[in-house]
Amino acid sequence: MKYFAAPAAVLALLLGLSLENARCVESDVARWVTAVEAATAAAEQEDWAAAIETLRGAQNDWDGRRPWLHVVTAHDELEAADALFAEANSFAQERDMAEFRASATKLAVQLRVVSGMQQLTLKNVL
Amino acid sequence: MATAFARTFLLYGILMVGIRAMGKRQIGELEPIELVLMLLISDLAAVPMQDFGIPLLNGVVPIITLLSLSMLLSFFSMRSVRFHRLVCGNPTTLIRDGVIQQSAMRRNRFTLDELIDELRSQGVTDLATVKYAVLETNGQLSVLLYPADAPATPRQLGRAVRDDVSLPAVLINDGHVMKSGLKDKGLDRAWLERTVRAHGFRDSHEILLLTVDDTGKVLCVGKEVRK
Repeated sequence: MKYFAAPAAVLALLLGLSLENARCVESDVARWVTAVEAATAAAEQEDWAAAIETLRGAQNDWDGRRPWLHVVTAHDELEAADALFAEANSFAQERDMAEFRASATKLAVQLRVVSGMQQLTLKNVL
Repeated sequence: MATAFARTFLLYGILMVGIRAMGKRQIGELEPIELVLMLLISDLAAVPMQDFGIPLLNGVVPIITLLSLSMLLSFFSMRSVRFHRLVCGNPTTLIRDGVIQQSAMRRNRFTLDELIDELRSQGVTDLATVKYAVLETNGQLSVLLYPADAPATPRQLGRAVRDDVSLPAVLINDGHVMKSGLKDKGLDRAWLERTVRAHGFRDSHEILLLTVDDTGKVLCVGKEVRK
């Protein structure tokens, strides 16, 4: 029976870890997207200090999770998100509303791409 | 550079353990599905070894998944003959009583040239001497000759032969004493030391190979003296 149990257990473990990873990344990304949207809302009300602070908090959180994401996600996608965080931060410092809004939107989309790549969906499988 | 080294090291370790867990079959004896598995695994291992933009896990997870699936497939194949036939197919008789089974040849897309090649490689030049030629599921051709054309065995000749075949146990391998071999043969270290000295050596480190069979016959080969 061990000839069945061992590979079945390995497959179950891999599936479990994959699903748990997808859940964690989805939850993290939802938090970061919410922060980016909050930063945009603060910027729209001309509260640039709050916008910068919120964006910095999200980026620190992202940096903390970066080693794990590096292990499970294509590095190109992470580097694109890194670049967009830096870009949004730079426009926030310059208080350029139009550019900041565009950059924040691209960042949110890129973060959702990172999350989407981990999900077990028919779209991803096919 | 260091990444390539470390990744190669890790993937090699995973492949070694995985292939070892798969069993002892040689490449030439792989079933078609096993051959495909080996090709897939080698490709999966090669990609993260070269492309550092891909996480190592992207190679490791599919490899472990494939190996686990293969083990499950083997398990179900052992449990069910029907499942085994579904996965591996059935052996096909290509020659029966010296007659080529043309429909079987066509079904297996086995050409006459391939059949003649295979027979020739097994030392058969006259098709009429073949009673059966069976295409096995691993692609090899098993050829059974008519008794009149096959080498005669002592039994067929009505001769009695003494059963003197025994499997020698290796007791010293390149200077290392094999404790399991000693235990299997019910021998001890003192017997081994006596035997070593009886063959003109001081200790086991001077011996390349020492075996003993069921009849107690000892084969002792000393190491060459390095110049």
